[in-house]
Amino acid sequence: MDLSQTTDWELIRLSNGNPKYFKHIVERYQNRIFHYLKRMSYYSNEDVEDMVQEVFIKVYRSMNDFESTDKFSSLIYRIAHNHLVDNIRKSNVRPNQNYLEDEEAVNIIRSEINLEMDFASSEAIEKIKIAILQLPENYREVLVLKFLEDKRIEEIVDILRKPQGTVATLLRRGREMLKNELLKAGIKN
Amino acid sequence: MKDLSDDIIKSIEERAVKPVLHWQYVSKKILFWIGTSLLVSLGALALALAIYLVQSIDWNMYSFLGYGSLYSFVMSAFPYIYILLLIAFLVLAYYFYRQTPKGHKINISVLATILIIFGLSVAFLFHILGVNREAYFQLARMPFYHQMMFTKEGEWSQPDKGLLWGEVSNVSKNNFSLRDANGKDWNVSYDNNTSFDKNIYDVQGQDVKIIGQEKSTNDFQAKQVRQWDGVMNCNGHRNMMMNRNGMMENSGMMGGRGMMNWR
Repeated sequence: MDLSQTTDWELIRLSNGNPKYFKHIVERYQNRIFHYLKRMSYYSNEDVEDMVQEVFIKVYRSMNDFESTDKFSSLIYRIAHNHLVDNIRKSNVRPNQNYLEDEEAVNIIRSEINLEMDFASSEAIEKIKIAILQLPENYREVLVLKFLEDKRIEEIVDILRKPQGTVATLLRRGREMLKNELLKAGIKN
Repeated sequence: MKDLSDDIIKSIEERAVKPVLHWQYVSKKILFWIGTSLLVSLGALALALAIYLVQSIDWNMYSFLGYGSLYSFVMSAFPYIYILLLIAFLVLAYYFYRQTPKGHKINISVLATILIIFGLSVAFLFHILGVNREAYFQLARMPFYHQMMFTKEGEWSQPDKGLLWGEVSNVSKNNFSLRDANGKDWNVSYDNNTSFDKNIYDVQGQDVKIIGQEKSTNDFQAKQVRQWDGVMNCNGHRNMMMNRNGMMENSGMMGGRGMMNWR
């Protein structure tokens, strides 16, 4: 049975009582969730894979809480976000390493600083990564969702369960903070 | 990353994970809505009680109580506890509302404004319906209430400062007996200079508030005798006041009951 054209919501309906169908949901979203958790945490690949497993088990458990008027990917990201927050809170350790790819780091600042990837030195990219890492958690998560996960503001609102005005403010301030940090580090327009 | 789909499905099956039933989520959502409504109502009740308290106090008595100015009396008698309760309930209502499915979508300032307007409206409704008077009556029967709050009953139970409240009995030409809220009997004297808002013989068996001077442990000289206009009589019963047409008027919502000795 080819389920590639089946919608997420249809798969969720089929999965309710039959986990086999849930496999297709996992296949569709596991990479995105893995990279999101990786970008937002300091964990090793193995730890992030364990988290991905737990996230999908939580998604399976809460499937009756979903409303088809919501965007399905936002619901998965919300569960992933909450799971990550719980984990970081339990371990009580802030990320001290950066798992952003060079291009990802540049993507975040591209709208603020006119930095062409081809001309960006490895030293500059390292400074950008440090600047992103030093941002407070709530600013960083909004920037990652917006520029790396390509989420619209409305989706970020649902993922973080924060009002639209708050998300827009976090985004604007986060970018300003990042720009100031980069200017201090000697990276200019 | 490696494909985790098989591991996840295996894990779901091995751990016999089941989706949480739909009604449980519905119940949770309903509970948060009920909680929000309840908290707003409690906040509104606190505000309505504050309104009643402010309304019931005789503010022009401040000089008898040793306050230099009306301002210092207002600052001292203002119902801070109810205002704090109002704020606390509205803040809790805010967090409860945030837990509802779409609760995160409204901006903080908009939600706060809606909750405040809603709370004020419900408080106004409570005031119109007399819910605050009834709540005050129930609270006023508790001994600790008058120690915690500045109340009308407390205000008029300070014979040492010239303010006395109690039930009139045995009226004679120059004096009458009065039993205060503590059950203490007073001999109250009056003369031609004493002003009454009703004939003293007509208020026999009813509560009055008196401005005057404490002469000795049980003697009080009255300068002004006024009909008691509080929600509760000094015996803990509901105050049934005579209206302008001479009809009995219930100042609370329900009939009276119980005795009190709250000081």
